[in-house]
Amino acid sequence: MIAPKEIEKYLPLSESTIYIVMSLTVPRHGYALMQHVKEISKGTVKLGPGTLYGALSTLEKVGIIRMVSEENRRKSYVLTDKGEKVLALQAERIAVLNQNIQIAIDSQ
Amino acid sequence: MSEIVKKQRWFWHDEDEENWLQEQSQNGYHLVKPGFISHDFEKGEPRNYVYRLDYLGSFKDKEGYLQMFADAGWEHLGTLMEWQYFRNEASAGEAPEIFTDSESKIKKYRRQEMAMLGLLPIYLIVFFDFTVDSAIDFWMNVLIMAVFTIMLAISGIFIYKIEKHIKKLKAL
Repeated sequence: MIAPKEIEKYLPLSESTIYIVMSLTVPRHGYALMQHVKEISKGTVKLGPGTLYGALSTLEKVGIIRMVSEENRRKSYVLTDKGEKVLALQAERIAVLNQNIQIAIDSQ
Repeated sequence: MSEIVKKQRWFWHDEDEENWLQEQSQNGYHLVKPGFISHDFEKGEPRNYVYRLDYLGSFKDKEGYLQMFADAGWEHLGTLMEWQYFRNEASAGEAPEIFTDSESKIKKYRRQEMAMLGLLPIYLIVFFDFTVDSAIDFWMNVLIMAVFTIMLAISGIFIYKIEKHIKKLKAL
């Protein structure tokens, strides 16, 4: 079991990091990840290779993702159990945030 | 045979060098190899190239790193004192970027600062080692002290300028 505190310390993730983490529910290498994020975010989030490389290294170091394979110098990563918990908790926070934004807009 | 032209200018800030390289390309001089004394440029047709510099500290997986940049469309032109020179072609109205958030840009400048601070103990050791050594000539001593003082001053100005830039990035 991972203590909730161990998960909460990573939150909130930045928007780019949320996109990276959610895209790694299936294994992907860097370039596939860049393309995927650009597509699902409708072009609102673009990941430059410098930013992505640094983010993947950090996420791997803290154990949110792990490398699953390496082919032609392209490393593929996937979420760890810890990473899945981080993503779930982040999703909860966003749901609350969304609700509150909606309430604020409706009460205008 | 294409003509190779050597040019060099020194900049305090990497973004100024990126802009200068871009201007050179707009005038038909395209960087082929960065160098310490001078960069090599190739004369050709003007092109709308974008240049970006990254600073690597201690690093294990440089091949994987370069592969990711290549996949994203960046050509690696060379390395100069751990500075990586990349080039991409700007498409209509869109300038490609290697760093897409200020957090990762700040990390790059921190790596540069760390490398400079890492040299500090070496400066100090060499400095004191020479200055207490009475066997060497007085004027030689003065010269060494002058060189190291200038090097320290330059590092100091660099770090001051980086800190100012980081502050600006943090405000975004």
